[in-house]
Amino acid sequence: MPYHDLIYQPAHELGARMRRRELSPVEVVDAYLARIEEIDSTVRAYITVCGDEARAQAQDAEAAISKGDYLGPLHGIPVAVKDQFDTAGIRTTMASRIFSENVPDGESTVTARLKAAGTILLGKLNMTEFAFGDTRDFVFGTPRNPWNLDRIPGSSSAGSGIAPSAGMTAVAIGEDTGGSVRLPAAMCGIVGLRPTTGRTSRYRAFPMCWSMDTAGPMTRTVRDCADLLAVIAGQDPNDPLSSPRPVDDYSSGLDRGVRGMKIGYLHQLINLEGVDEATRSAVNATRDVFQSLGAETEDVNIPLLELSGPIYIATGDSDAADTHESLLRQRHRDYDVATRTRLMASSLIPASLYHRAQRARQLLRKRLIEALEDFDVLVGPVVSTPAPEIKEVQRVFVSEADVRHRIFGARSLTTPFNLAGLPAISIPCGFSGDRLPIGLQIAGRAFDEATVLRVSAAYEGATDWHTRRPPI
Amino acid sequence: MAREANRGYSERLTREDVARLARLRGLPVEESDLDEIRYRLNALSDALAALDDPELDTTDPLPILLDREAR
Repeated sequence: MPYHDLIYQPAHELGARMRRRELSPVEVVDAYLARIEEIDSTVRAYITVCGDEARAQAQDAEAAISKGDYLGPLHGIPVAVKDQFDTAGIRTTMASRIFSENVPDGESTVTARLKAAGTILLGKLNMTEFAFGDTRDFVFGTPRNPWNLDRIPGSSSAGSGIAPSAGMTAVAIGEDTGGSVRLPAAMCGIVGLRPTTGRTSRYRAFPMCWSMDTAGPMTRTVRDCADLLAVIAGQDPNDPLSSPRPVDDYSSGLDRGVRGMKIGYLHQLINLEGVDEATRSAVNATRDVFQSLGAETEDVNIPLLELSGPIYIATGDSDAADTHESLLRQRHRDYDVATRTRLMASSLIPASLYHRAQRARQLLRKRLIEALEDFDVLVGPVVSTPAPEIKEVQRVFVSEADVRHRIFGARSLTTPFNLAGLPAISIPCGFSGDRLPIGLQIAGRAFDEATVLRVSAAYEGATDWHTRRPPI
Repeated sequence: MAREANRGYSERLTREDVARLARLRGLPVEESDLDEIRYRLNALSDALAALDDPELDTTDPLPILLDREAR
């Protein structure tokens, strides 16, 4: 089979063929390594490629499966991980000059669980520096959107969006503090889930904001997303915020449909200033699909939603300023300018303002939880426009209005669910006139990822957006 | 009694204010960064001043989702 056909197969299909011994993990790994070799110098998805290690792991997986030691649906499946998660003996940089030669001596819980499930680590993925958005000078090359190389792939899990979209891995892991899984998923036309706070472990993932950092799966299909979440979810004694709640069987309910469900359309977010017509139309068009599948749809208003962006910056960035204070004093010239000015600003936020934002955060969370008593899920856009041009995002801020427009507005779509600690996913729901993907955001009740995935699977099954491939 | 909306700083910050605040915090600051830092801080203060929800003053500033909230 030509490798271009192999690299876009859903991971669950690759896994089923491996289990039946119709396909070798070695063949699959070689296909992805060839694809990486072919296009990574253009799209810059990877910081580190683990070619030799991946081939060795693939041979081990092939031998184990042949002996009948099958570990589950992801056994032998190649995965790539955002370079924010420690991998023992493999460079972990946070896309920062400061950590450009950092080789951890221990493993993050997320990557340890991936290993235990039999996945094969292809490499570590590019990102915006320290998981902040809008890096201007990328130490390991500027990541580019496979749908249009002049556009951003979304931040901060940039490589985790590019790699599944461009067939450079079967599945990927990102981390979402304010939208960093959902934004690149939407802009690259793939599926990205930010689980409930506490559903996945933060252990040995470089922190941005202690109360919002959440590892999440990024894949080409909803079923792959469910399978990957099942592997990385669960309590971890090394993370005091991780939940003891049992992990659901996410894939078993995917085919149950949405008949009788009630879906709330977030009026403030759909009609937020800056949301362009293509995005609004694509999101609104999903109502017809859900109604045709037997769900009820209704608009919902939640006061404060539209201010989520500044509430997030005041709370999340204050946490980040604390994390970076020592490094900022010692190595401030080694930070990207955008990261540095953002950290400097957040270091000077008065405590009273921080607490006012925390009150707003709690109030917003209460209102979202109350709304989710009336609705099974809440939906809206992920990002206000399809992927913007790289040069536009890397522009210096020239006024306070510029900050309001580019920072606060853009972050008000994804951050409500980070502030509230609720699960939210991005799935493909259309394309702009210039062939850029558009994402639909679906958020659910705390620890009810199963319903979010079920609704996503129903939409995916009724549409073909997820089957389209970038031109690269 | 409802509190007055808190803008954080009592006046719009200037480049000089930002340089002095950073110095007082012991943070090194580049001259070329001063405008961008003050734009970020002033914009944030303005945005949060718009928070006038009457329920804010009776809401505790809890930073995380408690398990009992996760219905």
